Amino acid sequence: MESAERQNIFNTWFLWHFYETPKFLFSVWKNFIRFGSNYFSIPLLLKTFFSPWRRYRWLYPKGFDIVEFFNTLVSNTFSRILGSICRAVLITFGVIFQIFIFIAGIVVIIFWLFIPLIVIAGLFFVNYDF
Amino acid sequence: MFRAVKTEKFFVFRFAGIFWKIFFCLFIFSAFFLLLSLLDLFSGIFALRMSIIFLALFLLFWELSLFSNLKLKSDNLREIDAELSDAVFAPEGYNFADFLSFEACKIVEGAVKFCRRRKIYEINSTSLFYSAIRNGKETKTISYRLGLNVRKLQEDSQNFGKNSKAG
Repeated sequence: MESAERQNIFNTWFLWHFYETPKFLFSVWKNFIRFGSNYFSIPLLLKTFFSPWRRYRWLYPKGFDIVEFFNTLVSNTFSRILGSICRAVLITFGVIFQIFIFIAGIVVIIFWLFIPLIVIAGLFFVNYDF
Repeated sequence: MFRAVKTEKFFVFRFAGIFWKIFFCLFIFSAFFLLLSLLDLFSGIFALRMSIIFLALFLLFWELSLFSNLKLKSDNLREIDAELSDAVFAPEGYNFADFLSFEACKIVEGAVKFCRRRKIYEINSTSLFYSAIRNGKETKTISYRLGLNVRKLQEDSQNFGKNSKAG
């Protein structure tokens, strides 16, 4: 009876360690990636990459006024360039963050799966003669 | 859940939470000695061996502690799909012990033992209260917050339990 219970505990542990916890870690990893994507709004920033900075834009003259036309064109172009620079910085930060999360997730999950092996190897190391 | 209570009493699971912290500190210390061994102040092999052993023991007890806290102690509540109100209206179809949390289970088990020891044939509210004060961490916290003397409360409820048996 006791050995059956012990066996059952071992099975419970095995299932928990190699199935339930990795599944949970994957969901945590997915949440972090989603968080990074939402926080830095990478898809939205890519969609609106060349939009004017803070929607600062000037209306073109209605009549024929070449000076005012070029004045507006240059201003709008600068607003768009400024917007794209700021968005590029944010996208870069976002991508670095996502890469960090991606690598950290892989490391954590692999480390978790290898814990029993590390423990066994470490305890085996006690009796090892150099 | 009662199985979880039994398992938690097992030496390894009971002290896993303390052991992993101790071995983690020892691992940090041994890693420091490993750094010192680079300056030839200590034997490098010895420091390395100590570091690996402490790391392995830290991981072992950490794993056991996590398994005990995250799986054994909270498994039961996740597995029950029914609501407590359903069980109250149709008690024959449910085992009420399934609805107990780990903490509550420990309290009930303590009360059963208390009654058995004192040869009280009914698990009354006094024994449950005594067990809650003795075994329940949350009950202790509430008592401390209320400014109650927990030790005196334990003694009083124990004496009351004895007297109620005598009466």
